[in-house]
Amino acid sequence: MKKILLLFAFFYATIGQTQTTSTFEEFSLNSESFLNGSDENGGFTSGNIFLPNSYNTNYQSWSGWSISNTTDVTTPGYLNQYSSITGGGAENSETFAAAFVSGTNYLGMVDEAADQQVAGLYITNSTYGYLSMQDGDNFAKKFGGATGDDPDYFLVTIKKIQNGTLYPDSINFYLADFRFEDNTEDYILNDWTYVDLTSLGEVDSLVFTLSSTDVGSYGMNTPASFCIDNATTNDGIVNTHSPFVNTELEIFPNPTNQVLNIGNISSTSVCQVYNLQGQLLLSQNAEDDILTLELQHLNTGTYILSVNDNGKIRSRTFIKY
Amino acid sequence: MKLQFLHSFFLMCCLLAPALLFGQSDTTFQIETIEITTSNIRENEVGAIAKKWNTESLSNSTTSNIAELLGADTDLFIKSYGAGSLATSSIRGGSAGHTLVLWNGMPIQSPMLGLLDLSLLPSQAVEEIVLLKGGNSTMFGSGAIGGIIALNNLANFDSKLNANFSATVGSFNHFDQQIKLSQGNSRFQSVTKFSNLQADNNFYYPIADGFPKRQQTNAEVSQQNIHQDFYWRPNYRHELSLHFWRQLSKRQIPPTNVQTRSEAHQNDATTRVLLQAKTIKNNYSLNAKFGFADEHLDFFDDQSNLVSLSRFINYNGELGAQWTIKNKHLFYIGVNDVFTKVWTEGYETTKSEHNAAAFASFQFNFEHLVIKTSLRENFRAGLKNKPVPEIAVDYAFSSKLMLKIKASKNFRLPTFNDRYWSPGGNEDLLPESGWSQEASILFDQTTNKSNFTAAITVFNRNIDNWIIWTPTSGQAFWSASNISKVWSRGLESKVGFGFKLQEVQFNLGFNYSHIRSTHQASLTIPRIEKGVQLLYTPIHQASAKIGIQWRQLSMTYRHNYFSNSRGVNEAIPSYKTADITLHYQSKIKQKNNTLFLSINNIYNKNYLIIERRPMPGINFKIGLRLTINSPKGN
Repeated sequence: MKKILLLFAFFYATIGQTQTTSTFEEFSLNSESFLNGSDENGGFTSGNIFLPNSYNTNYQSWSGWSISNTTDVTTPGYLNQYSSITGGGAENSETFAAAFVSGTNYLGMVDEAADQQVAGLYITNSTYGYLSMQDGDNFAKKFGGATGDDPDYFLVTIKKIQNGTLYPDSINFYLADFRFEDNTEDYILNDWTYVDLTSLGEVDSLVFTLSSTDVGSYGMNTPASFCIDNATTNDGIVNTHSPFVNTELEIFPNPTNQVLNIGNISSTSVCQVYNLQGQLLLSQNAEDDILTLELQHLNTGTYILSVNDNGKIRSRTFIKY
Repeated sequence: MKLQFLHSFFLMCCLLAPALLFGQSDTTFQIETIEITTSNIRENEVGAIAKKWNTESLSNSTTSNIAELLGADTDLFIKSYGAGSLATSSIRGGSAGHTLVLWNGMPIQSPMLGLLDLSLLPSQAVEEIVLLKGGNSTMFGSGAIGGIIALNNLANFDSKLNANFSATVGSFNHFDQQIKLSQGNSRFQSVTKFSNLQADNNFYYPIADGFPKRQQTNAEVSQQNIHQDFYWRPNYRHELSLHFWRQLSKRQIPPTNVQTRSEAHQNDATTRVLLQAKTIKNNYSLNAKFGFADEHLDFFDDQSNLVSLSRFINYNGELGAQWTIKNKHLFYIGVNDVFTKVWTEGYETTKSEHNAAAFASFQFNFEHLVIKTSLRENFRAGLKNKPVPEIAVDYAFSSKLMLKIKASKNFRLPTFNDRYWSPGGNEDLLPESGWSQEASILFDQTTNKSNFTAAITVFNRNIDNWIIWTPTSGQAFWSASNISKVWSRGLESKVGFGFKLQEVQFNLGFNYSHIRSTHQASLTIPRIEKGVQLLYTPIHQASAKIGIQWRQLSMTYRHNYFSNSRGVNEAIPSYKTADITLHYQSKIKQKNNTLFLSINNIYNKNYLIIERRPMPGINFKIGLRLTINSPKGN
């Protein structure tokens, strides 16, 4: 009996350590190019993560995530907003994800990674952000100020959402830090650095926010951009005893701007829509094996659909545009 | 097509001007302006106090541009981004777009930004400058909320020739030359002006105790202005004038004091042409204007490969008529139409619009009392704007004491950028508008030996639908909306005392302004709390001036104080500056020569007007002005 238990533990551990790394290389970009969401798909999926993107076709503006392999490490300004300061992706790869944060950026866990622990990811500054912090620009200060003594910093904070709830636990990572007594220790990150996220535990989504000491009435002056690569997620197994099940919810269309059709549910399912701050915005009983939710009243953004089917909970992220 | 023809015609006339001018005989005349008009109800100062500079006071000024002139001679707050950089005015706590700048009655602000850079206007460009504070939208339309600055070209038909040359050398490789040639007779006058300014503005400024000073870089300025004015007066009842103004400016944009370097620069090229006709009969006068402006504003940042090209043109037509009723009351009626077209990559397409307006004013003149009522109606497709009225009263208690009261509704139309910038422009924006009230008491006692003047003004102004750019929900860009209200109120006071002791003339002056201009709505971003003072608007301003004149030598000392203000990122500390000017004037026959030395910021104070934009320490200018006059009959 003891051998059987050990065998089961070994088997479980082996299954539990299976990982998927999102390298973004599968996008097969042309040289020095990027995807900024102009295809209006609402985001990008790489490995088992979904990177939401909000693209405005009228103004060709975007926020959220883009996929890029541009290598310009010398040109300042927002026209060079897709380059990482390293000139490429992490671990000598070419392609990476560039963030432009308008308030908050999200990273959704999908498929086997849903509701699993995230191992970690590589992070660095964008060229736009790095050169702005190094030299200043029309809006932002050079870090350290005129004397070099200002205790400036540029911080990315990573939190998790699980089951529609934003948890207070966070991982803080300084993309630049000038708070040292000895100015020679001040730094602006210019290489890919691995950030271990295992301490966050199981997650549905990661939430990225930025903060800087260079902030005024109009918000943060430091460019709200950074880059990530090689995000590694742990692949889960279906645990029939868990209230969370990963059998696929069918939702379409996604992204959507009017209605969301939900399939693969039962007539007793309760379908709920949360925002990424964990607030319940909509709740409706299915009464059939398919349900159509009216979403016209929701603002543009990323939402979480949670379906409770007799105590078994499944969730999916969708985009309202 | 007709407009294009007129444009070409005006340009051709102006290009021919120098040839016409230099073909004329070399004679002289004296400077004294005579304007063929009755008391113009539209530009008078009933209900408010005006400050006026004429040719003589302008030629005595040591300032290079109108921003410097207003900063040195008035209590206006000039928002300067540094030597040679953008400078705008804030009148009574209003924004830069709330000062309307007129050239011979034609607005010359950028329709894209709604403001004009006063540092680009040479102070010798015109023969008269009028500053009229307070709301004037009924007579002058959009933007005249805080006040107007009127630049007027005037002819002197009593002169044959006037030649004026001035050269100024100053700190930071400042070189400034101006030439003015006027010639003509009692029927025709031609005035040609040329000015050139070069400055490196490479001053040193401190960054902190114990650190070496830093030298300003990428701050070079180059400006050239060419003016040609023709005046034709076939008789004393009719006058026709044609004015041409070509302006070129190349300006580097210096880095902030927390920026390593800048490679940004801006090129402006402006052509302005105006044709005016005036007629006076026994009890009425007519005037007509047709103006054209073509302005290019091109911004480049070589570091970030940013190029932003923009251009606008506008055609401005205006008709006005004024009647004198029973030899004392005045009635004025006018219409104007402005067509504007803007090209910029910042908009999705080229944008254009017509703005038409009709306005009327009735002025009752009694022995001690003047009452002026005015009304304006604006017409533009899609514009939700109601008529704007004004009532103004002057009451003279005696020859020494006068009361002025004025109440008016004023407005500012949203700029083209507010409406059409992509992304974020909002075509549904309403005009900023609201009521303003002001009351002034003036005292003036002048005797043979001395003069004492005092004036105090209290004002109140509420502007609704104040336009602010805020983050757009669910989007990564900001957009314009009528989201705020601003309440401005305060007082302005000034005292002047002049007297003579033996051969020495003393002139003392003191100004103090207390201005509260506060947001009446709270916002999250930009972070605005209800009741907070507007950005870059000091509550207290004061200046004291001492002038001493002995024979041909004069000296003026001015001390300024500005209280702290709120910047975008941090507070701007209060600051004091002081300037001193020495003048020596010699007048031999028809030759008038002036030598001056002005020393600015004589205590070498480190101060900021706009955060992160350093201002120069002590600096000087030395200049020489030579004038040869030949009055009519010599």
